[in-house]
Amino acid sequence: MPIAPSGTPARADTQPRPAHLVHTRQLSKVYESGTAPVHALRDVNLDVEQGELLVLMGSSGSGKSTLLYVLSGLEQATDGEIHFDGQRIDRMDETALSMLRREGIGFVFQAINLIPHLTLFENVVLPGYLVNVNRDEVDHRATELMGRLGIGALLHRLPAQVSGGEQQRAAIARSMINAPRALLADEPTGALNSASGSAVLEGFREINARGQTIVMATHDVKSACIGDRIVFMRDGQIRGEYRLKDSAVAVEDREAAILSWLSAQGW
Amino acid sequence: MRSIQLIAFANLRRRKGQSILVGAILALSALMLYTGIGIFREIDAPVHRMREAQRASQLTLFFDPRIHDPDSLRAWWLAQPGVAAVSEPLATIELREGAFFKGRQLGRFLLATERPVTPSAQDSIRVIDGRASASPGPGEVWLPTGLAEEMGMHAGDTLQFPGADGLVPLIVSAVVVDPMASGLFANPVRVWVAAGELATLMASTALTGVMLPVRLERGTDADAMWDRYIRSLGGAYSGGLMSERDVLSAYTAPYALLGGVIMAFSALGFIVALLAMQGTITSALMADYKIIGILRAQGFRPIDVARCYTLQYLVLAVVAIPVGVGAGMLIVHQAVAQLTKSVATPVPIAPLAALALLMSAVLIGLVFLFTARVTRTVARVRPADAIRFGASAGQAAVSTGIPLQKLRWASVPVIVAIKNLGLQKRRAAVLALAVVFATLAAALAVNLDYTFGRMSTHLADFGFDAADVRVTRSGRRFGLRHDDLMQVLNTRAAVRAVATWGTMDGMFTLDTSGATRLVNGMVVDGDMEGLGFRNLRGRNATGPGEMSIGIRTAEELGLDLGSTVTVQLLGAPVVLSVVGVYQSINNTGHGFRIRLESAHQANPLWSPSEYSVALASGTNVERFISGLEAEYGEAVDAKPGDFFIRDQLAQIMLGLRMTNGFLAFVFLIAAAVFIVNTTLLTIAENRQVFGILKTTGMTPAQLRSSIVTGVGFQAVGGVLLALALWFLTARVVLSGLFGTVGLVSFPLENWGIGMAALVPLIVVFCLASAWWPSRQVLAINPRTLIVE
Repeated sequence: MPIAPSGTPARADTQPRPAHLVHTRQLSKVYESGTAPVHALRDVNLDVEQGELLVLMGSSGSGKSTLLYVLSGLEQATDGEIHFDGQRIDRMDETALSMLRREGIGFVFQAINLIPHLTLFENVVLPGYLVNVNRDEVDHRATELMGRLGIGALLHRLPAQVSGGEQQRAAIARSMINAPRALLADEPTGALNSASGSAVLEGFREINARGQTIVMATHDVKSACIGDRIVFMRDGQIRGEYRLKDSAVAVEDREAAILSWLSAQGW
Repeated sequence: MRSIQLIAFANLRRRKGQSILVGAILALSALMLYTGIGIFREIDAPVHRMREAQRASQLTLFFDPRIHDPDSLRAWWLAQPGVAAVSEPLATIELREGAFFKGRQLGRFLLATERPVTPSAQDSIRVIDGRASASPGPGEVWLPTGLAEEMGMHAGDTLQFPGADGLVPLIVSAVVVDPMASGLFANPVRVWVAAGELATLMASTALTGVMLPVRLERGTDADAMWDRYIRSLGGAYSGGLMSERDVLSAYTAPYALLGGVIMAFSALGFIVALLAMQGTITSALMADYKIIGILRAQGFRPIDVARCYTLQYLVLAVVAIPVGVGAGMLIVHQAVAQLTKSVATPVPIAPLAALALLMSAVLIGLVFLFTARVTRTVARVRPADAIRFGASAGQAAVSTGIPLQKLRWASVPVIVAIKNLGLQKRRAAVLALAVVFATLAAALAVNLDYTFGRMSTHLADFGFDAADVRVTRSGRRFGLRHDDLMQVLNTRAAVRAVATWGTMDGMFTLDTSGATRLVNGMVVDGDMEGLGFRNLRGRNATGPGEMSIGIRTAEELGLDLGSTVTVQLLGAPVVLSVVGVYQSINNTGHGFRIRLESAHQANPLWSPSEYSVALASGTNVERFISGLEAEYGEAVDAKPGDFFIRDQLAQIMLGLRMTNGFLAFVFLIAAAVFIVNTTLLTIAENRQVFGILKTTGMTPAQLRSSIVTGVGFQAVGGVLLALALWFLTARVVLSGLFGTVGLVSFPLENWGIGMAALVPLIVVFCLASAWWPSRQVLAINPRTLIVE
C-alpha cells in the first residue's frame, strides 16, 4: 500500500487530475560547449500517461538521457514547456525542483549511485526521512519495498558488499520510498549482467503493475520489451512511437517486433 | 623526470584552489614558527650589540666610600687579569623620593650619577636627542632612552628633581643610550648630572654612594671574577652589585617569555599544518586513483607515481614556506626593533636572514619527508581495478560506525553531517584540533589579560605586599623618625596593618669553595601577615635569625626550608635559617625577606624608609593620602599601593596583550583557513554523494547546512575540549612558563564571562568559515552522476 508522503502536496486533491502526468511542448536543450553548441533536444513534444511504462530508445547521443534529466529538473531546459502533474516546472527554482524530486519524481541511474558509506537500508530511508517525520512509517515502507524487490535479506549490507543487480534494486527502492508520481530510469540495466538486469526489469514490471508511472531510457531491446509504449529518438528529436500495449504481439515475440520496428526507424 | 614534473605541475594547475589553501596553511604556520623562534633568539641581540659597541661594563659595584676605599677597590680590579677597564669612581645617589614630569610622578626610582668631566670609552654614552657633549652642564640632566620613552620626555623638557630643599627643575639637555640604564624595566634607573652637581642638589649627609663600573675582556668571566673579589675581602663586602645578567633582564626578559609562548604555540600550529597536508594528500590520491591506474598501465613505477605527488607538494612548500618565513622575518625585524627601541641600535637583517634560510630548509625538508611517507600508499594501487572502479577499488567496504537507527531523531542534514564525520574521523579530529588550538590561544589572551588587569587587587599573589598606600619618609628641612611615623600610622583608625621595609643586598656564600651570590632582599618590620606577604611553603620570618627566600634564589643556591646559611649583610656575617620560600615577579623570583632585628645584627642603626599600609575596608585611598600629606607635608611621600604597576608594568602588560592578541588572531585565521580547505576538500571528494542527495530532494540550503553542521559539531567538540584542557592544565603550564620570571605558581584568574562568550563566538566563527565555501556544493551538477 503506497504511503502518501507528508508535506504539502503540489495540487489540492479536489482538483481533477490532468490527462497526462507529463506533458512537454517544444522542449529544447542546448549545451554551449567549445566552439559549436550542442542541440541535445529539439522541439520535443511528449505526453506520458498515468500508470504507463514508457520506454525511450535511441543510440548514444540521441537525447534520451538528457530528456530524462530535463523532465526531472536535474537539468534546466533551454526552451519550451514541461508540465508535471498539471504544474509547469521548467521555470521552477532549485528549491522548488528539490521538493519536486523529493515527492513527485524518483530517479534511477545507470551508475546506480548509492551512497557508498551507507547501508542499502540507510540509502533507501534517507529520502523518506526528508519528507516524513514519522520515521517508523518510513522504515516500514522501506522494508516492504526492499522485500518486494527481493533484497529484503540485505538491508544492512553496504553497497560494495552486494551485486550490481542488488544495488540497482536498492536504488529503485530508494526512488520509490516517497511514492513518487513518476519514476525516471536512465539505462537501469546498462551496468549489469543479464541475470541482474533481468531481476531489475522484473522489479520494474512489478511496480508498474501496481500503477507506478515509469519512464525508462534504454538502448537494450530486451529491456524495452517490458514497456507499454516505445518512443524512438534521434538527434534530440522524437522520430517514432510504437504502442506495445495496443499491439497484438505476443510477449515472447516482442523483442523481434521491436527490432523490426527500430530497423524501420533507421536505427 | 620530465614526465614526473609534467604530472606534478598539471596536478597543481588542476587543483589550484586546493593548492592555494594548502600553501596558505604552510605559509601561516611557517610565519608563526619563525616569529616565535626569531623573537626568542634575537630579542637580546640588539642589546648585546649596543653594549659591545659602547664597551659596557659587566660588573658595576655600588658601595659607601666610608666603608670601602674607592681607589683601593679600583686598583684591585685593575690589577686582575681579564679586566679590560675600570672606570673612575662615580658619585651616585639612589633617590627613593619621586621625580616629577608635567605633574606626573615617575614610576621608577632615579640613580643620580655624576658624569666625569672627561669620560672614558668604557660605558660610552650615545646622545640621540639634544646637545651632544661630554657631559650635562650645571642645572641639566641626561635621561636614558627607556625612561624618556616611557614618560614621553625629550631634550628641552624639565624634570622636577627631588633635591634637598624640595623639587628642583633640571633641564633635560639630552636623551642618551646608556648601556646600563636604557632598558624599559630598569629600576632604579641611572640619570646623569654634571660633575659636582650632587653636592648642590642634595644634603652632604646624603652623598654616601659610589659606583664603580668594571669592564671585563670576556663577559663570561664575571661570576668567577666576582667570587675572586669576595674571597679577597674575606666575604666582607658591604654594597651592591649590578651584573650584566641584571642589566639584560631589564631590557628584554618579558619579551623573551612572550617569544617562548609564541614558539610553543606555533610548533603546535606547524604540526596541525602537517596533519592538514596529510589529509589533503590522501584525498588527492583517492580522487586520482583512476589516473594513477592509467599511469601505472603506461609504465610508471609506484615510486614514479609517488614522486609526482611528492614533487607537487614540495613545490608548494618551496613557494609557501619561504613566503611565510620571509613575512615572519619582517615581523620579527619590526618587533625586535620596536621592543628594543631604547637601545637605538639598528637591527641587522643578516642574522634574521640566516635563520630564515635555515628554517626554510628545515621546514621544506620536513614537508618533503612527510609527503614522501604519505605517498607511499600509491604502491598499493592495482592498475586494472583502479582504471575500472576508481577509488572504490582500493577500499574495503567502509562503515561509518554509527548506524542510522541511532540517528533517527535528527534531521536529514544532521544525519548526513554525522555520517560524513564518521567517514573521515581523522580529518574531523584534525579540524577539531585546529579549533582546540585557536580556542586555547583565545583563552590565553582573555584570561592573561584579565589576570594582569586585576593585578592591583591581587598584589600578594604576584609576590608584592598588598599595600593600599605606600609611604616614604622624606623631608629635608623637617622629617619624621621611623618610630614616630610607625606610631602615626599604627594609631590611625583607617589603617588595618602597617609594615615598614627597605632593601638590602646580602652576600650569600654558596659552598666551601667560597663562591658567592649577591642577592637584593627586603628588611621588614611590622605586620607581614596583615600586609599579605605570602609564601609558597613555610612562613614569614617572625624574629631574628630567620628569613624567607625567593624561589629562584632558593633553586640557584640549593636552599629550602630548614637550610641555614651565613649571609653578609652590610659587611657583617649574619646566620639565617630559611623558614619560608616565596614567589615574586619582582626581581624575577630572586630575593630574601628578613626581619629588622636580623638587619640590626649587622648594623643597629639601619632603619627602613618605606612603609606599606593596608587600609580598613571602605577607606578611600586618595583621601587617606591627601590627609596624611596635609598633616605631615614634605615629611612623607605617599602613593597608591599599585602605582608601580600602572607605570612600570604597563609596558609589560601592553606587550603581553599585543602578543596574546596576535597569537589568538593567527590561530583563529589558521583555523579558518583549515576549515575552508577541509570544506572544499569534503565537497570535492563527495561530489557524487552530494549529487545523489540533490537528486533525492535535498534543497540547496539543506545541502549547505549538512556541511556546516558537520563543522559545527567539530567546532563545539574542539571548543569544549579546549576549555576542559584549559581548566585542567593552564595553571600548571603558565606556572612553568612564568616560573622563569619568578611566578612558579601562576595566580591565574579565569574570566567567567569571557570564557563563556568564547564558546559561541568561536563556534559562530567556525560556522561562518564553513558557510562561505559551502556554496560550492550548489554548483555540483548531477550530470556528474551520468555515465556517458
